[in-house]
Amino acid sequence: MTTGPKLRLDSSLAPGVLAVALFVIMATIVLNTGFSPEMEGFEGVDSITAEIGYAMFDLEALQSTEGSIPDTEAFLAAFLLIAVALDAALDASLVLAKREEEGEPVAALASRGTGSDGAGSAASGVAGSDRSAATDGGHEGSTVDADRADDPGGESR
Amino acid sequence: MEGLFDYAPAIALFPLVAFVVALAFGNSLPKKGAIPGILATGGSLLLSIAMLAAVASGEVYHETLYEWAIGDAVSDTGVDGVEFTFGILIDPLSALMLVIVSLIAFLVHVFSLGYMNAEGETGLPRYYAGLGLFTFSMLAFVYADNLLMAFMFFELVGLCSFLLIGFWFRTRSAPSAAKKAFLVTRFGDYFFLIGVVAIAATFGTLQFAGDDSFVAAAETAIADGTTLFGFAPETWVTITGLLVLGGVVGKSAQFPLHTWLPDAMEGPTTVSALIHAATMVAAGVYLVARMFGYYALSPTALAIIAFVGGFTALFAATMGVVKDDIKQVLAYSTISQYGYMMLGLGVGGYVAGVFHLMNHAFFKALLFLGAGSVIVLMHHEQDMWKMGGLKEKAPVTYWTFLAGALALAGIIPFSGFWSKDEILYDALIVGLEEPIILAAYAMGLVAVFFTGFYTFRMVFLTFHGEPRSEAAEDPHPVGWSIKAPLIVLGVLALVAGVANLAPVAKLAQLDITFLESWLDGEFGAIEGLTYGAYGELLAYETSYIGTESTTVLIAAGVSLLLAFSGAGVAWTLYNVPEPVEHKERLGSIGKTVEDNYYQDEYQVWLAEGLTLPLSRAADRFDQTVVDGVVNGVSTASLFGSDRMKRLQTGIVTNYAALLVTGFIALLLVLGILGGWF
Amino acid sequence: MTVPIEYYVLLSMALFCIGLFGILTRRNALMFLMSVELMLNAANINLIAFAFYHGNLTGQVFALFTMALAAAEVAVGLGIILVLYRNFRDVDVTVPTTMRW
Repeated sequence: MTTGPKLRLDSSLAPGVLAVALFVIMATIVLNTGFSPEMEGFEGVDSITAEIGYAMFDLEALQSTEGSIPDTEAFLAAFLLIAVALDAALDASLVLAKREEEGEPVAALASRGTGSDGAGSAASGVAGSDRSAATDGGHEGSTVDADRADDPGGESR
Repeated sequence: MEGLFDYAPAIALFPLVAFVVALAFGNSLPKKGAIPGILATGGSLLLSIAMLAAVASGEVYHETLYEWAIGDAVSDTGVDGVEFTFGILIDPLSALMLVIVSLIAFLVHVFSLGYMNAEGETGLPRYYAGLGLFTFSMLAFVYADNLLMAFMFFELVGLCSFLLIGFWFRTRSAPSAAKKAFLVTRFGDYFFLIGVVAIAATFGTLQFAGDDSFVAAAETAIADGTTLFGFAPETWVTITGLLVLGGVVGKSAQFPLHTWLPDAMEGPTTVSALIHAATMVAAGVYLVARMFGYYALSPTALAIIAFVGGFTALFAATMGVVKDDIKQVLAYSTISQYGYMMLGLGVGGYVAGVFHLMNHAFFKALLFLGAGSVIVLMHHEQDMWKMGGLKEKAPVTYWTFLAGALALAGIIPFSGFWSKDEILYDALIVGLEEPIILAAYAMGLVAVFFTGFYTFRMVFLTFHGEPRSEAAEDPHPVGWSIKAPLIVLGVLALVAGVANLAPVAKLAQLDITFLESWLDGEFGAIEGLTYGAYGELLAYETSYIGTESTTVLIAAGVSLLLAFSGAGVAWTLYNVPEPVEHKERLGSIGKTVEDNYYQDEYQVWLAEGLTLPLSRAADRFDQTVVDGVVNGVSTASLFGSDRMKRLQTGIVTNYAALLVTGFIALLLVLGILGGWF
Repeated sequence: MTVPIEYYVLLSMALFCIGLFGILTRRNALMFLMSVELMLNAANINLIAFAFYHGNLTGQVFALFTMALAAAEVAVGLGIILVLYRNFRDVDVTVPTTMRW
C-alpha cells in the first residue's frame, strides 16, 4: 500500500531511461533547429493582460486602438466552452466522489443527517442511473463502503 | 373487335386463377378442382379463338404492359438503356399457338375427369393446380413479347413439368424421372440464360417484334458490319443464337438432351399428353419459330438446327421401334417428331415447321389420350405385349387412336402427312444445294420408315390379334369424358392438314395454302414477323429435280412409300393373332437400340465419371487450399493476437512506456529522414 | 536583452521529461496526477514562449485555457483516484489491472 511519497531507487526506475532518452533526442533536435535569435516580443503594447482580456471576450473595438495587438483571434466561444467543460468536470467529480451505502447513494458533499438539500438530491438523481457503474468494483468495494460508512464525505473534502 | 385485345392477359390469367383455386379450395370442391380448371381453360380457349378471329380480321396486338427494370446498356449497337418488361405480342403465330395450347389444355382437363377422378387418385387438387399453372406458364410464354419474359415462363414451364411428372411421388421412379427432367432441361436452359444475357448486352433490347427488336438490331448490325464483342456480326449472331438454342434442345428433347423425355412417362398420361403436345416440348420449337428472324440471319445456326433435327428424328425413331411400353413408344415418337419440326425450321421451312407443330399437337395429344384410354381399359397395364384385341372392345378408342397413328405415320390424307411432307420437301429443295442439309433430309426420310413401323407395331400389338391377358379380355369401361376429347382430336388429326395442302396447291396451282397465307401476314401481322420477311433473310438457295411439280411428286411419293413400307412391315410382323417379338433378330444392334444407344449411360458417366471426380477435386481444393488459407489466416491471427494481448498488462506505466518508446522511434526515424540532427 | 527561444524550449522539454519520468517510474496515482500537471505546464511554457517569439497573443490566451482544462482534469482525476481508493483500498496504479482483456 502506497501511502505517501517515498523515493525508491530500485529497478522500477528503469523505464525512466526512456524519459531521459526522449529529452536527449528532443534537446538535440532543438539545438539543431535554426531559430531566429530575435524575439518579436510585444513592443509598444500598453498592457498584455488587457489585450488578453479583450481577445477572450471579443472586444474588437478596444483591440483596434493604438498600442494594442491587432490580429488576435476571438476566443469568446472557446471561453464559454471551457466554462461548460469545467462545470461538467465539477459534476463528474461529484459523481465519482459519492458513495453508495447498501444500494442507497450518499451525497458526496452532504453531511450525515442533512442529506436532503438541493445539491444532495441532484447528485442522487445522477447516481440512480449510475448505480451499476458505481458498484463494479466488486464485493471488496462494498465492504469498504460498509467499513467507512461512519466517515461520510471524508474523502471529498 | 375494338378493345378485345385488352382482355388478352386474361387468357393466361384464367388458368392461374384455376391454379390458386385448386390449390386453396381443391379438397372441398366437387371433382377436386377439375371444374375450375375446365372452366378456366375453356375461357382461355374462347378468348384465344376470339384473338384468332381478331388477327384474321387484320389486327395485331403488341403492347408493353409492365416495365419492371431499366438498366444502362453497354451495348455495341449504341442503345442507351435496356428495358426489362412484360408485354404481350399477339400475331398470327402466337394467336395460332394460343388456340392450340388452350384447346389441348382444355381437352386434357376434360380427359382428366375420366382418367384421374374416376380412377380414385389421391392428391387431385395438387394435380389440377399443377395443370393450371402449367397452362398458365405456357400461354404466357406463347404471347411473351420479349425474350426475357419468354425465358421466365420457359423456366416456369420446366418447373411445372417437374411437379407433374413427379405427381406420384411415392413411387421410386417418378421423383427420379421428375428430377431428371428438371435437371436435363435446366442444363439446356443454362445456355439459354447466357444467350438472353448476351443478346441483351449486345443489342440492348429483348423485344421480339418492332423496330427496336433485337432481330432488327442484329439485321442492322450485319448490314453495317459492326463488330460485336470482337466478332464479326454474323458470328456473334450465330453464337447467341446457338446459346438460346441450348434451351430449345433441352426443352424440345433434341439430341443429346432428349434423355429426360422417355423417363417423363412416369407422370400421369394426361400430363404426358399436355407436355408432349402443347406445352413443355412444344415450347422449344415454338421459341425457334418465335425468333425465327434471328436464326434466319445465321445460316450456320440454321444448318445446325436442321442437322440436329434430322438426326434426332432418325435416332429417336429407331429407339421407338423396340419399346414394349405403349407410352415409351409415344415418347420416342415425340422426340422424333420434334426433330422433324427442327429440321423444317432449320431449312427455312417456317410454315412447314409451324404446321407440323400444330398437327403434331393434335395427333400426339390424341395418341397420348388414346394411350391413357387404353391404360384405363387395361387396368393400368402399359406393356403392349399384354394387350391385343382391344379393337372390338373399345371402338371409339381404336378408331381415334388409329386416326392419330395414321397422322403420326404420315399416311395420306391425314394431317401428319401434309406437314411432314412439306418439311421433307423444304429440306429436299435446300438439300440439293447444301450437302449437310441433304444429309439431314436423308435421315429424316429414313425416319419416316421407322415411324411407320413403330406406329403400326404399336397399333397392331395394342388393338389387333387375340387378347394376351385377362385385362385385355375384360377391359374396364371408359366414360364420355375420355371419349369426347378423343373424338374431337381424332377429327382434328384427320382434317387439320387442310390448313396447308401445299403439294396439292403446287400441283393444281390452287391458292389453298391457308396457313402459309396466315403466317405470311395476308390477314394481318406485325411487320418483319412474316414468312415472307423471313424468306428474304434466308441465305439458302433452292433447286428442283426437273420442275417444281416433279420435285413435289418425288418428295411426297418417296416419303409416302417409306411410310407405307414401314407400316407394311409392321403389318406382316405384328398383325397376326399371336404376334411374337422379333427383337432377337436384330442381334447386338437390337440390344444397343433397346438400351437407348447407351445415352443414359454415357450421361451418367459424364456426371459420375467426369463431373463427380472434378467436383470432388474442386471440393478437396476448397476444403484444403481455400479453407486452409482461410483457417491459416485465422489461426495465425488468433495465435498472434494471443501473443500480442500480453502486451496489455493493464498497468498504466507500461502503456506509457510503450507510448514513449513509439514516440522516440518516430522521432528518430523522422529526424534521420528529415535531417533534424 | 531577451532570452533566446532555445532556452525556453529546453526548459519546457526538461519539465515535460520530468513529468514523463514521474509517470514511468511512480506507482502512486496522485504522483501520476502531479506528473501530468507538470507535462501540461511544459506545454504552457512552450505556448507562452512562442507567443512572445512570434509577437502573437493567441498562445498566451491558449495557455489560460490550458490551465482551465488542467483544473477540470484534476477534478476528474481526483474523483477517479477516489473511486480507485474506495474499490482497491489503494492508489497504486499497478493494482487495478482487471480492465485489460
